[in-house]
Amino acid sequence: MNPLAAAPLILPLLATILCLLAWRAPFIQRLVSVASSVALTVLGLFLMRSTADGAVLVLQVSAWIAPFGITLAIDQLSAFFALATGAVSLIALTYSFADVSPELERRGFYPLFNALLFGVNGAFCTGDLFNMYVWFEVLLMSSFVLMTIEGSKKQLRAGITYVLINLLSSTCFLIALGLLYAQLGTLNIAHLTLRVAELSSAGQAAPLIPVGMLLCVAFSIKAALFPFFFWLPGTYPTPMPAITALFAGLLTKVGVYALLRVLGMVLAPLADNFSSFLLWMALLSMGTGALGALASHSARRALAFSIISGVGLSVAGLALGSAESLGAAVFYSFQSMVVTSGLFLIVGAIRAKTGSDDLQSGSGVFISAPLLAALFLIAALSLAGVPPFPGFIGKLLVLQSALESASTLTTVVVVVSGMLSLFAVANLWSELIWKPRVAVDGTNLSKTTQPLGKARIIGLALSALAFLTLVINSNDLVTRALATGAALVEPKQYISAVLPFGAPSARQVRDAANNPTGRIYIHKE
Amino acid sequence: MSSLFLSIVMGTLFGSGVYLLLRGNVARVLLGILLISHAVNLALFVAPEVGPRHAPIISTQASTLPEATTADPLPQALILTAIVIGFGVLAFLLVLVQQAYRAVGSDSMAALTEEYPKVEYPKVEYLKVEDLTLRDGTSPNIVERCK
Repeated sequence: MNPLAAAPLILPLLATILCLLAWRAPFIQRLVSVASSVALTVLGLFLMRSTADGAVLVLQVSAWIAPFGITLAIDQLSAFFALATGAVSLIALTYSFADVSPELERRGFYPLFNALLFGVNGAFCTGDLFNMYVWFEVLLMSSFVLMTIEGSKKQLRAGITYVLINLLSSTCFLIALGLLYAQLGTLNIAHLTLRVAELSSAGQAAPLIPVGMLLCVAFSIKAALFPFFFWLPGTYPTPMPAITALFAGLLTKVGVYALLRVLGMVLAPLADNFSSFLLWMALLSMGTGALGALASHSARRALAFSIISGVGLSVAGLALGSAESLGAAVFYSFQSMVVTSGLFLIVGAIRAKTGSDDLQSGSGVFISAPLLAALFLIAALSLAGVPPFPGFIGKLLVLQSALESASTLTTVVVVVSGMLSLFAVANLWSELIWKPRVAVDGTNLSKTTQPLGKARIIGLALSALAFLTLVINSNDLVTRALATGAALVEPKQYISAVLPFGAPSARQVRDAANNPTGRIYIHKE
Repeated sequence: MSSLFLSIVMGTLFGSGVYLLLRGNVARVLLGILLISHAVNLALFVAPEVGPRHAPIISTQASTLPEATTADPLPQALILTAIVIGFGVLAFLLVLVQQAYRAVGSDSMAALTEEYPKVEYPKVEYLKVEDLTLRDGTSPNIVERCK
């Protein structure tokens, strides 16, 4: 029992409530949100430290023992994602001060922001699949409102697509949960892992395959994998840069996390049935993402496509199925959360400064703000996977495990899509950054720029700082990620932490009337 | 028997829901979502064995629940949660659709979800003969020259 396991949930919840209480005082809302985001980042670091030896922090809510109650469990995988959530939220929040108008504050921007973090962290920290569904809905509800908060026609249109597609994904998830419960009688992740392993060693796991497929579809829609990615490029670029950065950093990665947790751990004994299917989806996403980024006419859209490519790479790591490849997937997702959100902020800053992120008209940012251009170049090169940046290390790890598993196709696709995304980055660089901005009548607009403002500069500086920390610590992070991958393949520690007395049998459940709390306890015998 | 009946109902709901979802009118799409969410709730409902069962309350002397005769309370809790969440999301969706309808002025899904870029042709200004000047500064009076 470790109350710390609830901390990533309680902090943003508290911030949401305080923001709601301070409805008429935007300054206090800002203060509370910043404090909560800073605390989340520090907490993420602390969680990384306390799970370093593979320990799992478990909280059985109101002392109901697993699998009867709700379990919160933070292992290394959760800690990775919780840390990235903290960092991305802090960066996006500071940047958002530049764009959030008093009108948006009156519409409840800050409570929604914190509620989104509440849902995201809930999804990362829960130890129960139905609970994960609930957290998905919490984060989706906030994201729906955040996406349409400005209320422009374009956003309303994007909002409808986004809400409908996510409703479908939730529906698939819920059906899968019903089927899973019907077959296994539990939804606790640790208990499910045990039961699936039991059934598959008895050779009776075949009915679970369609359930796995449904879960795969549900999470792939969230993660924007190949056949289900079409909603993303149209919707993500529509809100303001801070919100796009937040969505790009967190929401698709929630899908990746769920895929890693469910297909990488719970249904791992059945992995042979999914892996080829999943690998194809991953490879096609990498290809489409890279090609889409090349064909885009605005930088935001190109970045949205590069998210799809990145998710594809993470899922390729998952599909390869070894401890190393899962570790590679974890590391790649972790670094791409920081890098992608940073890139969206940089492009937002370019738009704020020069009024355009259109590849045709150019922005001339190389002349007006060379530092911004340099920042863009570094982040974009990391995205494309150029050494020595973390994106390269992630790709290299996936490539290594592809070579080890003798999957020629994966190797070729990773390399070719890497080249294509480098080409896309070069295209962005020459068309957007390098090209002077020229008006229709031929006058050079490169020098006519707006000042960036403090909030944007601080946000970008924080983003650069996070990136720098990532680069410096990438060696440790890779070691940790590989350990995480190994823990996913062999989840003994997770199971024994959540179910210290093993899976309960009916005989072990003692008469509730004999103990004063009225709760069910299990004999230790 | 009852679960066979429920399965048929569920299938009908799913089928009609998907049919409505594929229509081009936003009101039908919303109804489709509604039907599908009902179907999913039913799917959760039939997850355990369905039939006349006792409430899952344990007697003071017993140490276990007689599994064969007691109902499983968990799916009902799950359905309740799913209903509440579905209700909330649907309420938001209704408001969103209404707002979008006001902004777009159409209830077709195509108009509500996609923006067709308006093609704007560049405005071409033709030169007039009177505006031209010759190298020596005089204007070319074509009519006179023709004479």
